[in-house]
Amino acid sequence: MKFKPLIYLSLFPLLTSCSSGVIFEDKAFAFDTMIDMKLYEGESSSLKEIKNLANTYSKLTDNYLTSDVNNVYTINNTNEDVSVDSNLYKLLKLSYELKGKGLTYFNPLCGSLAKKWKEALDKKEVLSSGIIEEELAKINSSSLTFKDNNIVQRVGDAEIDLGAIAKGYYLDSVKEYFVSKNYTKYLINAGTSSILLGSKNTDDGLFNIGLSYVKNGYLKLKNCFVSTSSNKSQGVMIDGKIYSHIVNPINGSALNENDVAIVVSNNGAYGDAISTTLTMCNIEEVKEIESLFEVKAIIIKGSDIIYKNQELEVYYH
Amino acid sequence: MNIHKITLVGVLIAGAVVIGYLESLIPSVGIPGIKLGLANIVILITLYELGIKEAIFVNALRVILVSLITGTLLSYGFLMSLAGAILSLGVMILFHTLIKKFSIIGVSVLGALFHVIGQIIVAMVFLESVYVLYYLPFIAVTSLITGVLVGLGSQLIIKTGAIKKIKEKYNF
Amino acid sequence: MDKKKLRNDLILIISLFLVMAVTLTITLSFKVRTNLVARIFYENNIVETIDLSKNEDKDYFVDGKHGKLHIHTHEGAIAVLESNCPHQDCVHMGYVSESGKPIICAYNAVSIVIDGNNINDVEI
Repeated sequence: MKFKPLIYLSLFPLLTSCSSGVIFEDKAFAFDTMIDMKLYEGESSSLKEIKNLANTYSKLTDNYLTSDVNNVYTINNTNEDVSVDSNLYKLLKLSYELKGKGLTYFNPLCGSLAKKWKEALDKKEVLSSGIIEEELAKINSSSLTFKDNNIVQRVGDAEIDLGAIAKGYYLDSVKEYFVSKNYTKYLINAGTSSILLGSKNTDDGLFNIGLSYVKNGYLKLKNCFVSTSSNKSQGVMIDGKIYSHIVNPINGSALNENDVAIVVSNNGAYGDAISTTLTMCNIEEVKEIESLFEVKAIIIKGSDIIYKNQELEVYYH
Repeated sequence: MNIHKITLVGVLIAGAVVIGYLESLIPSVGIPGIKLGLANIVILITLYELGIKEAIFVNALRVILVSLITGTLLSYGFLMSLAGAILSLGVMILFHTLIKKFSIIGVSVLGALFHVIGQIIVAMVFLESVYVLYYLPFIAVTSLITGVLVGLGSQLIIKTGAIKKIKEKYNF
Repeated sequence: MDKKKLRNDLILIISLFLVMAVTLTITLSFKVRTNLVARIFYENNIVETIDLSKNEDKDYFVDGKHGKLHIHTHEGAIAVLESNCPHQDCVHMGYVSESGKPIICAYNAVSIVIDGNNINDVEI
């Protein structure tokens, strides 16, 4: 038969072009929240890899529990040299230096202040100014020293809290992993506050990102990080004001200038740190930080968008 | 097999594939992957001028080749296309050969309608959602319009008699 | 013969159009009450699917990683009433009746997702 090779040739594309339609989904519980994962290509073992990564980073950045490896909790309970995993070392160094790079309201050493606020708010009380003063003094008299061989030394009594940047940093490593596997279609949602977007398995590849506090509002995004800081989900209302888990390291207040700050960026760690900071900034400061770090933000107060970067478009259903 | 017939069928397949590919570039509204069914113009002409077997052949190859080109072979989009193609051609054959109550325009309209119905059924199964049906009225109205246009187009081309001349010249 | 067929075509097109137009107006005018469904997950597995539109007053006890969660539905809303997690974030969320953010008990790897025909991929 003359066409034998043709038949085999025509079968080949059949075997290699099976692609779209596949979705691998999984959930990981780390960073005290749930990481919802969707991968639209590759294999499910890749998600297991991401889950392991989440557990590793979560243990390293945990400031509540001790672990079999040196983590943030370890550093917070000593002033000696602590040898840590290189990823934690890099994250600590990055977080510590962000303030100097222009993110004035970002300080990873406000862990103790944040804990005291949480304790007070759990009892529906406002933290006393006396304790706030004490904690601010602790922060201002503490520092981190970064030595060779991934050794960190904490000076002073202030505690490290990486909650405002850890998930974003984790998502950066997830992105690196996906790039190494040549994956481009995925959505990794870490507690809705840190989201890594590849593209979706549709024609335009855009994901619909719903804005909970803007009625029927949503964004259409892909290939970026979306970081959200908000006082709405964990906030406590006392005397008509919403006190959040986001504390200002300069004045010790848990009252935020803005209710929700959404940051679209191409770096998860920066996006997370910036979104936390923007809840404490006025619009002028927001614009400065946007141009300094090349990110795009949306600021919401109540249910109104009081600022939106012009490159971001809000759609309505 | 008449070599001239094969050539003509080849040309028709090429035409259907080009139209099918261009159509795939149009973004889908509402239901992901849904297509207009413009390639039906070639299928309809094949059905009316050459016959049922040829129409089935051209249709099947059109679906496979377009999905190979767009890289969607054996995906959900391919299944939608296939379901739409099978249902629409089946219905067109029915109304062309058995129930001869409609002109080529009517047949085209029915073909376009069932093309969309086939796609919606696959969409409902794949997306596991009955809510896809809510798009049916809107998309069906669009398919009615495409059906009429495709029917008129097919009629125009058949009326030119070009294919008839080729059939007579080469005896098939 | 041709004229008759053309007439049939017109009847076909007009009637199809009318049917579609009518169905379209009907579906648009009805504020479609989508049934809210709550799904309780342990890790990535669904352990319970609850039709919230039934408005049942019911208790559910779900095994989590470190203990049982007491979940309750009431008037179309769902809440975690008791959990042995340290932060009690899940309990603090209270009753949720809208699709949007899930209730998460990270300590116990339990999550409650309310699905109301979600048009969005995520809600932030």
